[in-house]
Amino acid sequence: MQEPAKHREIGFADLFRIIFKKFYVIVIAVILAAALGSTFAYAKNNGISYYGAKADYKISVSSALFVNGQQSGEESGSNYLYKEEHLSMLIDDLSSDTFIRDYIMADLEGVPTYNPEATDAEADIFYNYLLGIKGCISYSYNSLKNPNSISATVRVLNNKALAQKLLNQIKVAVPQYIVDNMIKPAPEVSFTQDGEPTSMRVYTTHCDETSMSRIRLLNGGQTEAAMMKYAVLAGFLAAIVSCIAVIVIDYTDTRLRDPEDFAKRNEIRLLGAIPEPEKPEIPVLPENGKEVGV
Amino acid sequence: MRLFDWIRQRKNRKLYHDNPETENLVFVNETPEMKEAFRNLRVSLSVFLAKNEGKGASILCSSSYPKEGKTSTAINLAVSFTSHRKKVLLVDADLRKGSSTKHLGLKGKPGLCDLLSGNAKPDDVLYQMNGSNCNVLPCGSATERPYELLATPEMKKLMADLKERFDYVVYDTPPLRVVSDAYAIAPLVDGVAFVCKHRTSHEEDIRKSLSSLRYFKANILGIVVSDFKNEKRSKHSL
Repeated sequence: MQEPAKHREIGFADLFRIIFKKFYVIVIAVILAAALGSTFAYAKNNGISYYGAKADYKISVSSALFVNGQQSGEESGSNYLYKEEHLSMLIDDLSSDTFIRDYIMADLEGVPTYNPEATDAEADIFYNYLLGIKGCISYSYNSLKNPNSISATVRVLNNKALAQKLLNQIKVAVPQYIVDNMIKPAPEVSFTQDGEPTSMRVYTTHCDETSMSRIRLLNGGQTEAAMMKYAVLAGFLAAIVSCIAVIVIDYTDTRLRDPEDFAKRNEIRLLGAIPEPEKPEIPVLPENGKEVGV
Repeated sequence: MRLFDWIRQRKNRKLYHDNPETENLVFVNETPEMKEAFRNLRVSLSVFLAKNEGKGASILCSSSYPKEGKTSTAINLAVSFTSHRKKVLLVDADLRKGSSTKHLGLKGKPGLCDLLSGNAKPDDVLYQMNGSNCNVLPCGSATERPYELLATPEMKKLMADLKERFDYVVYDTPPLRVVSDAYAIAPLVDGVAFVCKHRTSHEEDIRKSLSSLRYFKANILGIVVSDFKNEKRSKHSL
């Protein structure tokens, strides 16, 4: 009765042996994958230039005291701190279609102007522009670090001139909007015992530009960085995948590789092993025509 | 994996039936390593063959698929057996392709097929291999029913007769997993040396072939590995 063949067992030493044996395959796979990854990154990032700048604004509130209808001449800053929700609301306003339409696009050269009586086609063109410009401007704040400041960032794809125009618009429009619309403390009025107002403190919002960078290329060297990143990632993945593939292929390779092991596992004799001829040749034999009979 | 096995089997069958090229042969005299390997094989077979007093021994060489080295092994083994002045006969029992016959330049000569069909006499079909004392019985004329010919009582009688006259009779047969001809004579020989090619033959095919041989009650002497690539092979030659 023939016993079933015993299966090969595989250990860590075997894994390393297999990987070492096929190391050249892994190296080639890594090199190819890295080359493909960097080529992909180059194709993806080449010709993409983002131009932009960042402007920081400080928002403050000052107060002026009026006595008997006359300004007393005293004007002082307040310690008024904005809450996060105030800044969030402000950014919502600055990001709204209305702000873009009325404050940014209204005076921007080379873009369609808003016309309430425009045709659908014209309106579509206008809103496409509006959405494009909206995507080029972003705002941020850090209420924990500085609750009275916001930042505006312009980021335009492959159009440095437009980036400059947008920055110019923001430079004017954002402070103006903040001064006009930002929440501030209500006026404080003092009264006599008779109920007559004696003095009133009025608060005013200010928005000062604290810093503004010049329009520059934002993604300089990004192509090279992306190529490196993709090359490393693809190479790493290829190394893992090729290692697994080499091990799986080796493990599923059922060709006779170790005759002694095979003979042992199948309980059969190994009669002999004929070495691989170094130079196999078809022998040229003289004709064997001599009949010898039995 | 079954699909791959099926494709491989189809490819190997096609190789056997369509490819006129035969495998490369290297004779034992070519390299000292080969000479030594066949000497070892000869010794192993001599040990394991149950040889009756006064009678020769018959060995069948076969493999799972073509191009695994059975013809090369059979010819070289036969030549190797002649080294001790033994009377050796190589029988080309591959009535379809006749690889040994082709390699030994005996194509077209009458042989086993003619003998079994009654078209030739034993005296007319034995040839001596040049450069050795080994005798050859070529496959002879082509036949459309090789299995039937090999399974005839005449073949059985011929095999017994050859064993009486020669010290060693080596049979070169077609591959087992392509055609079934070898099974006709496998139970009649003293032992089967199953040839498989290193890093080429699939273990599952070898197992199936050996299992089939066992089913036909053949005496399997063991396996012979051809084209063995020994990574630790010593440079010293004996």
